[in-house]
Amino acid sequence: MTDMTRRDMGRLALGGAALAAMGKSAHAQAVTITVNGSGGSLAKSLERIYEKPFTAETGIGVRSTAPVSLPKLKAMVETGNMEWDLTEMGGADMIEAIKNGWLTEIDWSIVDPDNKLPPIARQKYGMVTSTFSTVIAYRTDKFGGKAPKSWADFWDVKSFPGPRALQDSPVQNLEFALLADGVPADKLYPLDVERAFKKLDQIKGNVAAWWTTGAQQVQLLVDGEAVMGTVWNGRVPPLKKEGKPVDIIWNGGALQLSYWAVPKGAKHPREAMLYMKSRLDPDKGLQLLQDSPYPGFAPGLIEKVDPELAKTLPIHPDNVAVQYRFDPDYWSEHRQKLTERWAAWLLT
Amino acid sequence: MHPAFAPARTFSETIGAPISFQAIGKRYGGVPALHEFSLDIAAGEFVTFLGPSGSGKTTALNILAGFIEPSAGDVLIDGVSITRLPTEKRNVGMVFQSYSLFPHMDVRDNVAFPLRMRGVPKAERHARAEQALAMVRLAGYGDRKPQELSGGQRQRVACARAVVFEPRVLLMDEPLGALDLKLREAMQDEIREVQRRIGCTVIYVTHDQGEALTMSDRIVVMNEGRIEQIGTPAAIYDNPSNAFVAQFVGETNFLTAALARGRLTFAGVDAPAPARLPEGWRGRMALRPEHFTRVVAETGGAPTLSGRIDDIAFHGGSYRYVVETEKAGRVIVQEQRRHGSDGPVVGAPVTLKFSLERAAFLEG
Amino acid sequence: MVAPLLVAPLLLLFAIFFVVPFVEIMRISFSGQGGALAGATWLMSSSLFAVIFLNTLKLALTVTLICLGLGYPAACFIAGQPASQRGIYLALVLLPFWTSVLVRTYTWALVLGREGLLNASLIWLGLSDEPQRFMFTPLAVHLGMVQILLPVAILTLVGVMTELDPGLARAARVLGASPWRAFWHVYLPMTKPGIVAAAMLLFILSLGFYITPALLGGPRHRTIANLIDLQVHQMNDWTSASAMALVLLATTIVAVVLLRWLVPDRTLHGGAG
Repeated sequence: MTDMTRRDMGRLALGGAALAAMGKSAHAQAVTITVNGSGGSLAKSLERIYEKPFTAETGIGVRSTAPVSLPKLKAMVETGNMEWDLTEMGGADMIEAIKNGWLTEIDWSIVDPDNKLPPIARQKYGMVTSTFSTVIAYRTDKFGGKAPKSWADFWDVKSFPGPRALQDSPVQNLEFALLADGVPADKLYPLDVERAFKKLDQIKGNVAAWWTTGAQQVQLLVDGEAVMGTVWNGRVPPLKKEGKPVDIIWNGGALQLSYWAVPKGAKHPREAMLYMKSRLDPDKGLQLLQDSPYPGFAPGLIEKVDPELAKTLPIHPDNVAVQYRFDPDYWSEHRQKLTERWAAWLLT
Repeated sequence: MHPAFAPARTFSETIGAPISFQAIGKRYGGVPALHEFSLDIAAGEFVTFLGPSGSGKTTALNILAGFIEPSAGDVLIDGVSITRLPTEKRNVGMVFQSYSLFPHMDVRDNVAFPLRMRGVPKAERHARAEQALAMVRLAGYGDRKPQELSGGQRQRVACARAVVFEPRVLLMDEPLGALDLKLREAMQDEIREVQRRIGCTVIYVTHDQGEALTMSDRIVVMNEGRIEQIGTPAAIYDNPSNAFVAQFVGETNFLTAALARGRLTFAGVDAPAPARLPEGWRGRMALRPEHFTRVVAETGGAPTLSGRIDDIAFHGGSYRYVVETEKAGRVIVQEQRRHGSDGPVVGAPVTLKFSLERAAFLEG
Repeated sequence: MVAPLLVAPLLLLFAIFFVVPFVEIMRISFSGQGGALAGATWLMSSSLFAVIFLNTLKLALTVTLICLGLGYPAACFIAGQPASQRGIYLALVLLPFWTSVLVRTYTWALVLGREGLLNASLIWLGLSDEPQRFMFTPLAVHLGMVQILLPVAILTLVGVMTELDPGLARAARVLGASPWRAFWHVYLPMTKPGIVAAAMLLFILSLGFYITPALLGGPRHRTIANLIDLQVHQMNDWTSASAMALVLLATTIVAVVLLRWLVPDRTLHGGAG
């Protein structure tokens, strides 16, 4: 302090004033959008790859929240207190939300002005942000070198002994049961519910755990609570990289789409759609693929992907060929009744 | 109904048991609470343990009841050692200062409790409980809850409960401590009456010397875990064996005295020595307030002290006043009122006469 | 004038965080898409609700009884300690009580898992050849809930027991009761208010348990709270969920009234006044 001259003091004061002024002007312009996603380890990658650069380019701040929740969306629409500007949505939720009028129409002139997205990704109330699949995962060290190949093997506790894990939901589990019972993948819908539950009866006693979250799926396998179970495809590659004895089979997987949607009553819909546009950059898409094997339909992306990596993606042609196409429409209509039946079935 | 008019012989004649404490010792972490406590109590006797708190009186009682195990010595009831016997097998009745009535039972069940524990059938134990309640003048109170009774009534229920099973020994731990003075005096009579009817041996613990003097056949004065003196109330009062007893039981004036060549000198008085004192004795004389007489004229040979009257209290049948004496400090005097004579007057000069025959001579 | 002001903040909080949501739940449960009685109709007709409601009552009852059975002797022990040492034991009871329910529940998952502490110990001791299934069993749910609620039982009981006059048990003894009978005829009846208070608390808390049955019991051991969650999150059926919430509240009220009736005030406050 003694060394500090009066001039230094003056400079400091000036600098401080300038900083304060900058802060103020930035603040005056700043809009911060709230983007609701599934959180988890991916949130860090998203921040690095998309959110920070987006803010740097546009001056629009991004605040991310989690988790994806239809009831929360409903509550916020109904109370008129919408926190989110953009949210991820599963297929069935999407249909429910559209039916109830909880979403804002996408202005494609902002998001995709050059009309480069394939029609499947470009819908009235949402844009496909990613694709994923619910598949069988198994412990490679538990079956003496044998590997299960199908849902029939999942049900075969003699050849592949050990506890199983399934999601606590009828959604997809009914399809899996029918596939195990020999129904062809393209003849699943409308579901033969009776047949499905009858088939599920056979496996119920061997299911040690009924998972409800993504984290649980792999935890059950890693902890040895189950030797075979259903997982979202993207959960397993990181474990394999760590050397954990787990692998997945694409055969009989449930190929699903998830969406970006702008909730009704969002405070910054325009800024939210600008952010959606930023998510279509193929180079950034490629970066994200390193961390998350759930690619969307960003134009030009699949051409850039390394062929080895491409094999681990739900949209790889070989994988698409053996999965079944999950039908959210069917579930939107029957979910309530079937969930009640499912819960009752679990109790017996 | 006063107990005297209650139906005679509601209880079979139980006869109290003799009790013998034999060199009982009790230490708490090295600190002695009771030291070489030896005492023989005759069957049917009413003995009071009197002493200040911490004197060991309650410890002795609790050792007899079985709540405390002695560190040394033995206790016998009717000649049989009970030191190793669990509390419930000792078959003694007990009354507590806090009554300790069971609040979740009505009065009848409270009184019948000891009978129930002894397997007496319901009808009989209810009848006997009713008799015991009648004895303590609470006939018809059986359906009440203890909380609905006054303090005196509760203590009477506690007494009925303690004697309903006709114990040969009854222990009473400051049973009247929570009652006001008037009630306490009435209850003292009732307790003696009950004991006379039942004939049990009673050990009564109190720190109230008046109570001890009124009720007891014998008093055991205790202090700091030791017995100071054992005797009848009159013996204790008239011949306290030491200063503690003299001071604790009744009121006492102390005068320092010495005996030389057959004369006793104290407070400037020179009197012929009583025959019971040895030559060369030095110590204190203890004189009760009622041992003094206020005299106006000559005294006729009895020793006197003179001074001025200070502070008079009127006690109905007597006066109690303090005399500031010239040679012996403050002396407390109790004087019976006599019809037609003048009472003491504050500030008046006074001469006090007393007889050495009634004084107690204490060593040291 | 002052007294109403003193309770005003509490009343305000109560209004905001209880009355308003309660009225809202009432509204939702009677204004569903299927008409005012949709919720009630569902409750009456759903075998799922009937089974889970009964299971929840049974679970709450057994957990309450186990907590009382384990907590009572422990509370007796603590209440019997000198006041200076009682604090240490109470701290030991409170320590887990201050730990989050979620943490304690997850810890049970670690202990009870297929490769968890319990199975590892059983195998190491040679009591079992292969891992036993403890997770997602009624045993796991009971263990988890009892561990979480035991401090509540002990603290409530110790509170009542330390208020008791220790002289009463002594009186019973000297009047001829063996230790066991003194306990049975005097101590136990006198602690009844504590037992009732603890039972009430435990039962009501058990009825609303959510995390522990969800994590340790899984979907095969759902409670009403888990079913409400399922209705809201999976079935998007707020009407039935609200109706169930009201049933849960009604059950709680009935339980309180029933216990009050079984043990009237007179004995609840029957100290040796």
